[in-house]
Amino acid sequence: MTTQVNIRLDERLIMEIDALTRMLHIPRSEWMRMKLAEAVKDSILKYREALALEYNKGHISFEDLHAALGKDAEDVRTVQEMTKKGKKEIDKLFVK
Amino acid sequence: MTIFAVDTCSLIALQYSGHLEAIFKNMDLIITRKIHSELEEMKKFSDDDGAAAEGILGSVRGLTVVETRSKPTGEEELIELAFHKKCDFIVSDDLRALSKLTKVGIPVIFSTHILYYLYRKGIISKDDCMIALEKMWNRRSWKDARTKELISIATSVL
Repeated sequence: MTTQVNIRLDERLIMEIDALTRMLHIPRSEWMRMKLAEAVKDSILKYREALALEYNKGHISFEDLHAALGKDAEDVRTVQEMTKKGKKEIDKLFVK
Repeated sequence: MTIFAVDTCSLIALQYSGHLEAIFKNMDLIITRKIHSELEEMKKFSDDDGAAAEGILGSVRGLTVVETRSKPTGEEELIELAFHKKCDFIVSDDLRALSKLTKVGIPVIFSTHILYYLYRKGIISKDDCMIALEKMWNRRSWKDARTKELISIATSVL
């Protein structure tokens, strides 16, 4: 499934993209889709720890986390739950 | 005394925290023969983890090696210990092993909780605990980004 997204780009940038895509013999839209996908993957890799922390603080939902990290989101949730549970277990040792 | 059965990756993380000596002095940590041999294997590598393994084995008197039926992995031997009620906690940062470890019925905690224990016992301050977590985060040559997330989450929860 795809959704159309309209964006306005600087003319100079469009000219550079067109020069590149003519050289590569691929349509502009295909090249842009590919580059956008690469950038998203790179950012997820770079910010995955920040995403985990944002989820831990309740700033983003599990659905958002899952959209970014896929199955790894389950691990983040497990780590969060076990960190909280483990803290309680240690606290129990100090109850007088 | 509360007994903590610790796996290899948690020991390495705790060595990086800089508080392993205090941990050995104030807590009852046990390992299995397999975990001891995993550390011996690791020691052969000339990287940070190898040096950490060497450091742990150098202070191995702080650890008790408990005999179990020999199993293919350290985690399975930890399960054996728990099954025979030889420990009160299992300490493991291995997310892949968690589903098996948590089935044994005793609490499974992360290496980060050991630092929290030291803090609760008054052996280290909250700041020391945070600095130790940062050291673990920085120095561990994590093969798995998830373990870094584990420490980050600990920093905000503990």
